[in-house]
Amino acid sequence: MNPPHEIVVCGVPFENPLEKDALRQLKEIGATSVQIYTFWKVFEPHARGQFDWSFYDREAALIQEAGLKYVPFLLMGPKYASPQWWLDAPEHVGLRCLEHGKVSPIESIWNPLFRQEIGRVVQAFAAHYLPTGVLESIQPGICGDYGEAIMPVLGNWPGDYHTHVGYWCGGADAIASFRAWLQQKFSSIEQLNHAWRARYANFDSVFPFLVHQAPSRTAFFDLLDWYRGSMTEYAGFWMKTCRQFFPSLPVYLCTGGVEEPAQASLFSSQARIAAQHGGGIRLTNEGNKFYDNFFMTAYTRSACDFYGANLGLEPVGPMTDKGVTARIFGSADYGNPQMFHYYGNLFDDIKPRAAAEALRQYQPLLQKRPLEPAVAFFWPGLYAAWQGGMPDVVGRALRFVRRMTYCLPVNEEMILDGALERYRLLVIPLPGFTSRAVLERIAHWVQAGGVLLQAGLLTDLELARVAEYDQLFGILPTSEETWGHATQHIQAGPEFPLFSKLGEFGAATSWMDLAPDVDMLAATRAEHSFSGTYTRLTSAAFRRQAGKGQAFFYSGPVAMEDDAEAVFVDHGTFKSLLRDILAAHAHTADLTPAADEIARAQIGGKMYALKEGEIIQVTPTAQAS
Amino acid sequence: MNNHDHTNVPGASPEKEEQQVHHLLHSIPAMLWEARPDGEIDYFNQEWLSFTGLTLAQASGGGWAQALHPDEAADARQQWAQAVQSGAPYEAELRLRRFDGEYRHFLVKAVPTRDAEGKIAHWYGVSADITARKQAEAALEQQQARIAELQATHAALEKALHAKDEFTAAMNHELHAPLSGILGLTDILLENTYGDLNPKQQKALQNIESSGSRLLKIVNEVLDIAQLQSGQLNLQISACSLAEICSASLRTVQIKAAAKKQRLNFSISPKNITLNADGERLKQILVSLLDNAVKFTPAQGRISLSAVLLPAGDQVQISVADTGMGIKEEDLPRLFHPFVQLDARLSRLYEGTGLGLVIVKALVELHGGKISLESVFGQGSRFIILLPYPGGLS
Repeated sequence: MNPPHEIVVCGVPFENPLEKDALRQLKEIGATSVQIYTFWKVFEPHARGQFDWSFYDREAALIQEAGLKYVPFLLMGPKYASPQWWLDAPEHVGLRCLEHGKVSPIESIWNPLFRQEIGRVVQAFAAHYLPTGVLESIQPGICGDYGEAIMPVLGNWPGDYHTHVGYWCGGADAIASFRAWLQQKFSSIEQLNHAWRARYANFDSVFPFLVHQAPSRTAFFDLLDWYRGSMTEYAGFWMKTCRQFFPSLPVYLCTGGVEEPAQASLFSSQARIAAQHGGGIRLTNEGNKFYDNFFMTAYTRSACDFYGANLGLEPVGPMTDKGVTARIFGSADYGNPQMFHYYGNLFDDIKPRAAAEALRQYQPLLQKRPLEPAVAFFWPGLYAAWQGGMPDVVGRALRFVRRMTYCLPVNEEMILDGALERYRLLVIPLPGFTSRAVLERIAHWVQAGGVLLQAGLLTDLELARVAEYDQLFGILPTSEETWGHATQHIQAGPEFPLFSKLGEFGAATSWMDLAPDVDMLAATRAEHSFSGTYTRLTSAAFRRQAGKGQAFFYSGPVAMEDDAEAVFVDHGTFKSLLRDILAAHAHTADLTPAADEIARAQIGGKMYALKEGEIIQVTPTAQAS
Repeated sequence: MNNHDHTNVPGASPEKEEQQVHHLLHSIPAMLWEARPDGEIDYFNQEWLSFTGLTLAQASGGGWAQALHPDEAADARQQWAQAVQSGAPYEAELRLRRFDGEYRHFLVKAVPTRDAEGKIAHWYGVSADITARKQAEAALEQQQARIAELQATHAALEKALHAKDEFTAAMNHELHAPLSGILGLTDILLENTYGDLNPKQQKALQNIESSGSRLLKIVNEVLDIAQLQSGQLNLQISACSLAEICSASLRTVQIKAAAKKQRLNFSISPKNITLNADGERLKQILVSLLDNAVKFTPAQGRISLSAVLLPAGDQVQISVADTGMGIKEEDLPRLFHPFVQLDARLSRLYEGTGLGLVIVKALVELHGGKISLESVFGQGSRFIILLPYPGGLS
């Protein structure tokens, strides 16, 4: 039995003579609810305990009259949502930025006194509206510019106060929290100093730091762990409070579209905490293109599915009609239980756009369903956090795989929580670093039967090689990584038809002195040249049977598109190897679109294709390339 | 040899026996001597005579005392006399003068042999050169004294560093708190929270805000450097492979370089350089330099990392070269100094994931090394690090 699907629309023109017509039309196209930015300062404007519900009562009544439901976006944390009496109260504590030491009026997530207000206000809101039966779901607005579970950025209503992208942990309450967290993690300052390669006199001399001030990489990742953990804990408090006072309603934690370290968000943790309270996540920032949206949302979708949280998706702003159709296709593909639209993307004034008709037409596809079997795709969250963003190659590779079959990203937290057990094949399309525990977990998974494709070497956070992981591929402590261009002659067998067809490729790094049981899929030819130089035997593509599993290693170019200007001209070497491995090991649905299609998806046991502005049912055999 | 009775030599005539013992004692490569029951030393073997440069005639009849160190001669004589009187074995550490005048340390031992009636028949003595042991003991004593001295210095330094850390932490709070108060209240006033401002008041407050912000920036920089230089930087020295450190560092910029279609080169000679260093700190240094090279080198450019053991064998040179924008010659000397902002581009230098050049320099120097920069504006830069080989604690 599928739960009721929510189609939430925000931005309905209330206070307009045609407001009732607008609501009626929404009902006709299949919308189930209207979301309203519900500001604390509007319903408790003058003093603590003096509630005035008249403004939202009116809109709720109109919504109910149209046969729709009300989704309150219950905003309390942002400055624009807080009543002045609270902002003036001594209990109010603003976030303080680390870069400049300046305070913002946006409420500190570490302020315990504000939590008392949250409990009191949410309880009052529930007491007033639950009996009316008008509510569909609840969305708490906790901190970010738009109430997301992220730190302030630069978005809506910045106001005349200090706000910017940055670390908002310079306040005394944040510093105290950081020190308490450190004391719990390290039993003594000596242990901390050893781990961080630092020399603090005591915990009281440790302050939060910016990336470039971190005493070591480990120190930075510890800080990030605490900083993100603080936001997750705060979000968890909100979810728990909402669940307490709305025991049977869906609760969605709103979060931003991009997981930036400075914003303190870790979507996998937020999915986990939402699931713990029987809730979900509303992820923002979808655009008009299916594959871009997939890249933006797939990791959070994967986390929600793994931890058992619901997911709702929201666009970044104005959309084209074709873009709305692409979003519907994406949400249908995911089997999400909620989809959000801005009114202006469906109607011009109250005149329906083509997108409104698309929503009505394709609404039956929007049902909550479990995900299809997929290929696991490593989401290098720690690497991205350190490097200042997710490398482009991740997005390109993820899109490339999704063009052929289902794939879902798994980040470090999910791997440590056992997410790999759901998959047969893991693709890691780039070198870099992650935690030692993650590498060891992957190694165990391969030994137990998993298949791993790794492009370039992954090390631990301090860039040290992890023997257990390296040995999966046959890279020994004595093996040598050689730098410099080498022509690799492909010698792979018939199970690699596309890769073999290339004949040779150029690689900037390759390996020598590998374990004797390594199967070299490509290698240099060890030979003396006429000039007297000697080319050593090195390999840039090899595999090894590791326990019950297999590990493929590739260190050639990973460009996902043909590029004549590349350092070494590459005609899709990694793509070819990846396709061969997918064909042999993925055991997932073939989603390769036909030439006139954008993407394919299995929805409710049938195959559908997204074309420009339409979704059509197709037969799995009607494939072009 | 005198007429001592050597009856305990079996199966030989006394003369023959004496000849054999005489020959034996003379040929043993150890300094031996014999004394009569009354303590009069009347025999020294060849080894003893050769060492002291004395003849048997000179050494006999108490002449041997001239080989003793003047500071010890009286005591030595007295102790010998006491041993002879008591009949107890004799043992002493003495300095004996060598033929060339140099005094060396000896362990001198003598034991009595007794006749059938239990009376002392002879004393047999041996003098063993223990100069090497004495020198080692002296060196050890010196070393222990030095260690004690260093421990005291270390404790004093630790105390000073802790005091500095505490001072830095206190200053962090003491400087930040009032400055933040000034800036925060200024912001509030500028927002007209406490009533409208006239233009002069607004201008004055803007000046306070601007000056306060500048002061806060300086305070932050001072505190950053104080924290990093005293409270945070620490080395954990171990033997590490330089090739592995270089490879690990290169890997971190591999993706960024590929995205800019830049070529990464690496060479090391010899391949197996092992440094006693903090491998992770070295990676931090190299990653920072490489990251910056990738950042400021245009697309299609080249970044080279090379490491070489210099011919003298006591230093390793690591260089990071790029074909980037380079730095003006007049700016080079100031580059490693704190609070330097050469221009808009360099003010961003090393922000993000890298370390400031001041910190890079501090880390190199903590390793006992040096860092320098060669650059041609518009053509590229080359950071050169010289580290002691095999290295160790600075």
